[in-house]
Amino acid sequence: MSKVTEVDIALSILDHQLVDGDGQNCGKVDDLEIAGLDGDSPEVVAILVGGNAWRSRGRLGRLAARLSGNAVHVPWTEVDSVTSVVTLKRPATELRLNRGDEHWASIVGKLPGS
Amino acid sequence: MARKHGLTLAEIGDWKEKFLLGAENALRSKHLDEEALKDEQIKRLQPTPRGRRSSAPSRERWSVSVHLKGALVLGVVVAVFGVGCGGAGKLGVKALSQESKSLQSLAAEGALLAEDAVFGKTTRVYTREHSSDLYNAVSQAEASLKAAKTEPALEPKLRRLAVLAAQVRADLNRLGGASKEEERAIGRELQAAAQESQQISEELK
Amino acid sequence: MSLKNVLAVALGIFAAIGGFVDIGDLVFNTQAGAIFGFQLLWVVVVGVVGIIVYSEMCGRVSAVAKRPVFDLVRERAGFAAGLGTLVASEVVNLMTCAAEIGGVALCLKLLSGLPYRLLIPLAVIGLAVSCWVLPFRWIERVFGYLGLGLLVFVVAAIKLHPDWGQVAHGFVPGSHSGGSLLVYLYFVVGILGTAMSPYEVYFYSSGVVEDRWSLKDLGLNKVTAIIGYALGGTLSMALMIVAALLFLPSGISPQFLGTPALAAEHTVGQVGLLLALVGILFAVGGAAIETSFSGAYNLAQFFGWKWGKKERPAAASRFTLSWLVIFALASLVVITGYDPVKLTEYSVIFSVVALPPTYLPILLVANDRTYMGASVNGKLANFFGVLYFIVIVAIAVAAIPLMLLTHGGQG
Repeated sequence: MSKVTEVDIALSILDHQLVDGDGQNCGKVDDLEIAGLDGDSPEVVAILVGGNAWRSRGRLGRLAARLSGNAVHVPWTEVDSVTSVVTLKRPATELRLNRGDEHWASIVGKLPGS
Repeated sequence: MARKHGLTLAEIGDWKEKFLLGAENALRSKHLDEEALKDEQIKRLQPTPRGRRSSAPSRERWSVSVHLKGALVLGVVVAVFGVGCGGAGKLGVKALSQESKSLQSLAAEGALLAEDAVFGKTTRVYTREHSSDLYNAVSQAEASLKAAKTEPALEPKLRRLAVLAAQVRADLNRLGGASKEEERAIGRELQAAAQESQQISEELK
Repeated sequence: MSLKNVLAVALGIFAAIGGFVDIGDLVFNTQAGAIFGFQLLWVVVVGVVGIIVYSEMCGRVSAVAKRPVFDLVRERAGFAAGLGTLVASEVVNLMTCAAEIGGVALCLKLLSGLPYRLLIPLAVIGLAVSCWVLPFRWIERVFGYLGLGLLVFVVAAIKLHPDWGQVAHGFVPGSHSGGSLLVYLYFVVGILGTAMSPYEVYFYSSGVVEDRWSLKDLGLNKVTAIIGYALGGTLSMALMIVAALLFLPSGISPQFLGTPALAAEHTVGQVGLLLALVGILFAVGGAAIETSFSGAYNLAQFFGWKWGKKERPAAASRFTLSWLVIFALASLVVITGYDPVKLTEYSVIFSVVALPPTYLPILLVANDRTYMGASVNGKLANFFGVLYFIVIVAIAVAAIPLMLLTHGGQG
């Protein structure tokens, strides 16, 4: 029953904002990885962020997934608290999140005053 | 905990149905253990204020409107292209009347501009630019009037409009760089042209 | 109230007035006046009340939940519906931004005489540099204050000595002499659409979070916003009245952005012309910025990126790139040479169609206790919120048919 609690909590945070340990946005809860379906104690293993995490979200999701790289797996143990946002313990960079911003910063950073 | 396989949202939905059915039985036998585990969960995570409400039903409701929106967008695109590609052909009474109203509008606006120029209410740049915009519009109208065909009864009116359009175009062309005296004369001519266009559309009623 | 507060409110009101009008308001209100005289003035009032109702809700949501409304759309409605709303609003944002940029270029042309196609990239670069360099609130202030040149239209309306009794009649809906019922309804839809543009409420909502306003800060701003929008609405009315007095009798059908300026110069002289052109330039320019930022906010908030002018551009690089790309794409649309006035008409009608999916989340979230706590909608907010939502759905359904049946208001 407690596993139902955990997974139910997890399901209700789908599409919610992820915030890292420094209070910065770092994506949305795009999908969840749940293990132990066959058994009677399934467990949320990880939050999937970005990339091909949208595979399960309908046709547009699949198209978006194909254009993106791999999703980032954030282990459930990294979650600090769950309110209307999901707060993580560590900064985004340590969890390989917000790579998009880092990637494009190389271009945007070339402009003066950035 | 060994990972067996990652699950998609759709599979989760199915799983949830099955699991919740079995949950009641599980609850009875595992009561004490669950309490302990639950306490640990609560320490680790604060549950969302919304509790455990599933958002699946509302998503189904919303997905219908997404399809409707898609159909609407498609329909709009088709319709817009259909309207945009409206054919040119014989001008009827209504079309001719619209042409004369349009010419009246351009001539009247030109007259207003000329009048303001005479009284020094405008700037050189604005007079030149705005009269040039009006000029372009009248040129287009004149070209389409010249190329247009209509029924024999309306031929005279069509010709009058075409001649009038040519006059207005010439006047607007001169307005850009005109002196005060010329501006006054142009203003009067444009005013007269506007009135004649109005006359024509009255006759067409 | 301290002097500092009064000053802040007054300045805020001025910025809101100057920023209220965009190219859609200019086009639709002027054309409406030239065809129907004063008979559509009541629609402006309905539109202003509508935007006040939904801005208040949006602002309250953002101040309490500490997140903008669009941020909550995906949580509330799911990925598919959220993406649908995102795509619809981005398409409309792009069209509107293009129309506004075209308007800026046209204004610059009327002021400088430089070629239109050269002025388009100049306009975009000018707008982009302003956004890059100025802090968030300063963008709103600069463009808002300079947009106050539009007040010349209020002066013009008064100087033309209308029959104020007849003007008053315009606030009661009913007659539609001067045009068919269909054309009348087309303008009802258009005027409401341009008064209640979705990008305005989403920009406002993100702005509240950008400035980290609490409910207390919001209280002061509510007064500013309400008075600002109401007075901004008088600018729209002035445009209509002036067109009714100057264009309707002569049969002038306004089809150029320069036409309203003609009315200002005729009544107030050369100074009037310059005030009108500068006012239009900055009001429309400010709107171009709002639409491009609104588009960037929506994208970033759907995907969960870092966003906001408060971040250094390179820190929130995807957000920064978004508004730059929107400016670039919009200018490409304009550089094709498509008439900005016609583009405006299409963008307003399409944004009307997009009104229900963009306004519904606001109403739903404002009623959601889990985000709002004790600040959920009261009976008054819900009464007007639901009433206006019904109106929005009605005009959204009627918009495209009316546009097609009336050939874009030409009858």
